[in-house]
Amino acid sequence: MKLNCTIDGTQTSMIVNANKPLKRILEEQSDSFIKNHGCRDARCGNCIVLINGAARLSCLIPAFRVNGAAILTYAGFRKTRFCHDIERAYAELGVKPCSMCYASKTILIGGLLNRYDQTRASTMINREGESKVSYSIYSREYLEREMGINVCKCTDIEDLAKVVELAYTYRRQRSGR
Amino acid sequence: MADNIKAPAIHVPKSLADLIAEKGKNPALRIFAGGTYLMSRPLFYTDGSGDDIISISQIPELTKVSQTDRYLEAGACVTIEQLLNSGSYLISKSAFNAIVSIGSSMIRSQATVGGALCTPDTRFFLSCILSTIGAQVEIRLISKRGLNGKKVSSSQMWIPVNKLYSPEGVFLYENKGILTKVRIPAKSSNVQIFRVLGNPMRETDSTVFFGLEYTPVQNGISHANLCLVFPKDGFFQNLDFSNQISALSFPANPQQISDMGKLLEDKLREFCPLITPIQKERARRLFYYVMYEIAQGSLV
Ligand SMILES: Cc1cc2nc3c(=O)[nH]c(=O)nc-3n(C[C@H](O)[C@H](O)[C@H](O)COP(=O)(O)OP(=O)(O)OC[C@H]3O[C@@H](n4cnc5c(N)ncnc54)[C@H](O)[C@@H]3O)c2cc1C
Repeated sequence: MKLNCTIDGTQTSMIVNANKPLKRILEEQSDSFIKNHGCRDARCGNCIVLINGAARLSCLIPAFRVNGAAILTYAGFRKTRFCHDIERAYAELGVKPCSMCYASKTILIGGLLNRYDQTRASTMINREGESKVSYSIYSREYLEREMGINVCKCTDIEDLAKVVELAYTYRRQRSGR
Repeated sequence: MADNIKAPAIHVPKSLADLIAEKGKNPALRIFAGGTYLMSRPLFYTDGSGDDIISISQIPELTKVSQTDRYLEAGACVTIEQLLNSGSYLISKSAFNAIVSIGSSMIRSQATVGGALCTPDTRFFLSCILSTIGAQVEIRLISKRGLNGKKVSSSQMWIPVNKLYSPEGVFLYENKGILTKVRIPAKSSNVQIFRVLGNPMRETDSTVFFGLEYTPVQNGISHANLCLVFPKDGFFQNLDFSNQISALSFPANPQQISDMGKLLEDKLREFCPLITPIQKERARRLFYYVMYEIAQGSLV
């Protein structure tokens, strides 16, 4: 199939097998993807990219599902202000994921903050849970589950949760919210 | 190497009728819903089978959610995350929290309800949750008619989720039908308890999914419905055993609970002989744990 998409801001067109995993396409496109996202399989969580702003495991996405999409790998994401917010939070808190998972954890946090932006209401309320606690995307439990998709244990989950909170504060300050 | 492999054609039907017609004409088409299971198979891309793929994510009938006072009906291609978003008012809190525990939002936004129920060789948590709360699914069975088998026809039926599987956990409708809808009953005053031990993606041989629903009554419980799922080798939902749980009067004494645990072991040996010793042990302990919890609760 002919695949048209934007990879890290560059309009790209190529002929690929329709079921080819996006991860393989990205690996063939650039060495930096292999270097930054050393993915083993769907169980490691190291190949996370942003597809139209949502974090996704690129090994689980076939080519035919990304036709026309905007794909951002770490190489592209690191140039954005959103990434700077996260890196500022890393520096401020003295937290730094290892080189194996740095790219994916950073993009994962980026995707989470995009989600926070979209979900202005702080909780999804279950009728029984009128106490408003049944499913908060800001809760520690939720954050742990989200970050757990990347199996590298180099960084404490508590620390990552703090990074998420601080990076979101920076993002909100920057946009004057 | 991978580039020499045969490229499959992708079919993207725009209606259920088209899907049935295409799948009827070519039963070998692989249904692709969210793709989280298919893409994580090591050989999905490189096996070179080149089996054509039918992507069902653009069929409006399969991506709709509707609700009545009594149930929520979701198309098979509704993602698990969409189910949570639209079902938050109708699904009970325990079932809701159990569904939230599946993967992470990244997986839930991609994985579909139908995909989670139709994986051929692995049972996932959603099958246990939906079976415990008495959900039903609509299946379209496709057959060929006419003199040379050129006409495709389909029939539909509603069945409880547990009827999708054999006690050994085998999905009974692989290549026989398409799951089109799921109907989830609205929450009631029933109590529901869900537990997971293990990780279904990384530890399939030791993971156990546990679900129990019951109606609390004055001296115990009634209408118990126990469901134990073992990802690779077992789907246990036994009416006889559930009835025996209902027959217990609470507060039950330790001997009664222990006897029930032994009975559970016998049943698992009979119906799910392929589960591993650790799964059997975990199932037994989960059962004891939950029964003691209920017994304790009945004292206050
Ligand atoms: C990283 C990761 C973490 C996970 N964590 C968990 C977890 O914590 N708990 C858990 O329970 N599960 C977990 N899963 C498993 C996940 O729930 C399943 O992979 C998912 O539900 C499959 O749905 P899908 O739409 O992606 O299916 P697909 O991959 O598209 O399809 C799965 C199978 O079902 C068939 N199929 C799909 N739709 C239909 C239909 N409508 N009718 C007939 N056949 C159909 C397909 O042909 C295929 O054989 C995880 C998966 C991944 C990749």
